Amino acid sequence: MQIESTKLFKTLEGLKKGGFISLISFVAEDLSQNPTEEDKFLLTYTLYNPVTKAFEVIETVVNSEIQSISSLYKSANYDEREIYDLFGIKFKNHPNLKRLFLEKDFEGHPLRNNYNTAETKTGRAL
Amino acid sequence: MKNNSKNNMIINLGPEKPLNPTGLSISVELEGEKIVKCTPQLGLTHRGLEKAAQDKDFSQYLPLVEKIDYLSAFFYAQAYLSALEGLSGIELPKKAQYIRVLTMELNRISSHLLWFGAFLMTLGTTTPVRLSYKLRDEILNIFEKLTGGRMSHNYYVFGGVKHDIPVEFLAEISTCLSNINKELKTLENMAAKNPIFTSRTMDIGVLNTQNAFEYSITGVNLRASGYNLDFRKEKPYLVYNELEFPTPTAFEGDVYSRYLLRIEEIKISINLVNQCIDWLLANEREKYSLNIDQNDIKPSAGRAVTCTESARGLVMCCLSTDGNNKAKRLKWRTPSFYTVQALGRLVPGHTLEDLNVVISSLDIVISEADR
Repeated sequence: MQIESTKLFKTLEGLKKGGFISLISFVAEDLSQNPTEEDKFLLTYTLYNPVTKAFEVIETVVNSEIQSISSLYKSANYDEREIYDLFGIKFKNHPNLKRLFLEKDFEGHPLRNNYNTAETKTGRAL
Repeated sequence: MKNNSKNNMIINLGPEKPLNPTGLSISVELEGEKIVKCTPQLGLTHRGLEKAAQDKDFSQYLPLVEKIDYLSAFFYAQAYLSALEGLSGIELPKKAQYIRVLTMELNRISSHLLWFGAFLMTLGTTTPVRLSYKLRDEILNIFEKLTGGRMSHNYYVFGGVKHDIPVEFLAEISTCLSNINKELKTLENMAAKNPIFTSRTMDIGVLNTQNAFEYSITGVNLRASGYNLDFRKEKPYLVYNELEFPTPTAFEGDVYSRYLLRIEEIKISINLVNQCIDWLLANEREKYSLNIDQNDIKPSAGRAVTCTESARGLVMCCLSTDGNNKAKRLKWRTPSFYTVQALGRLVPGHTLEDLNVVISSLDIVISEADR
């Protein structure tokens, strides 16, 4: 199901009340074609309803900022930190939006299409 | 070690701990002897394996896939290859499917046996460890003879498996498994019949069903919390719908029920391998691979999601391609990533000595969580 990013939180809130209480996976993908283009990311949420054993896939396209759903699904906390770390998407109202994997002084977000791997600074200044 | 305003003591444990070969760093806040807060820290084993998928072509990336979780190499290779095969519209030969199921179930047994040893070591026993590692070693010997590698095998290829299993070798696997089945009883007697073992595992680290869903826990840990979800049955892949196997569930959600279910899974896997051996013996002459050129894998553009039930839970491979020989985006959904998060909920209320027991009962592999 494709929905607008502004309606995402409301939709997921409704789905959670309807029994989709588990967020099985949360995937981000960079959709931009060339480096000059505006940021465009596809977020895919896969939900699971243990009573009806049904899966629901929600897709939304965002530019750089979206409402955090970590208050609805506890497992989304790390997922959102990971996506912030690797893609640079900001999640509004996230309780602790810090990098999850990379060091805090790392520059850039490696999974973006416009990230230049050759310019990665490795090692840490002591 | 430092004290905060409430005079609670904060201790950083790890990242180098004997039972966590890949670094899990945990910060715990203690009020007297009781843990009130537990914060795991990820990232120390991050190798950028999702980024690497975009830089290497499909066949170059295949050996790396097995390094995501060094204890479940076959499951990851299966998840990755089935995504590629699905996008290319390829159907595997029946024999290849049976060989993959056989090796994956052997992998599950070896992973659980290693877990069993490490788990009992956290409880302070050392004798069962030697026995369980010895049994695991027998399976690794089988892997070595079959694939050339003990931990990472590179045995699955696009469109099948690298080479056939000789019929004489199937008998060897069968003997090894009956030996494991026999020795398993000794292991169980050493552990579960020991009153110290039960007192240290029962009602410890209780994860209820609601919390398990909130933290997206899957696999044995979810089934021990009272919900029967096994992706081998839920979304059957390969030939799992032709095989007969139960998926036992426990309702207590504590360390002891997780232990019981893992032991039960070893027995079920032994039975599954035997079913595969029977089929392979009856269909000796079928082909095991489509013999596709491995350097020319070009699936059509699109997105594929595949689910695999690994020893630790649900592994999902979300692959997005644009018609080239490289992935546009590859995302791994790994079970340990979510289990680590649940520690913050599970550990508070316990003492420091129970911390290791709870962590190891969940069977967390940090290299899998970090990717």
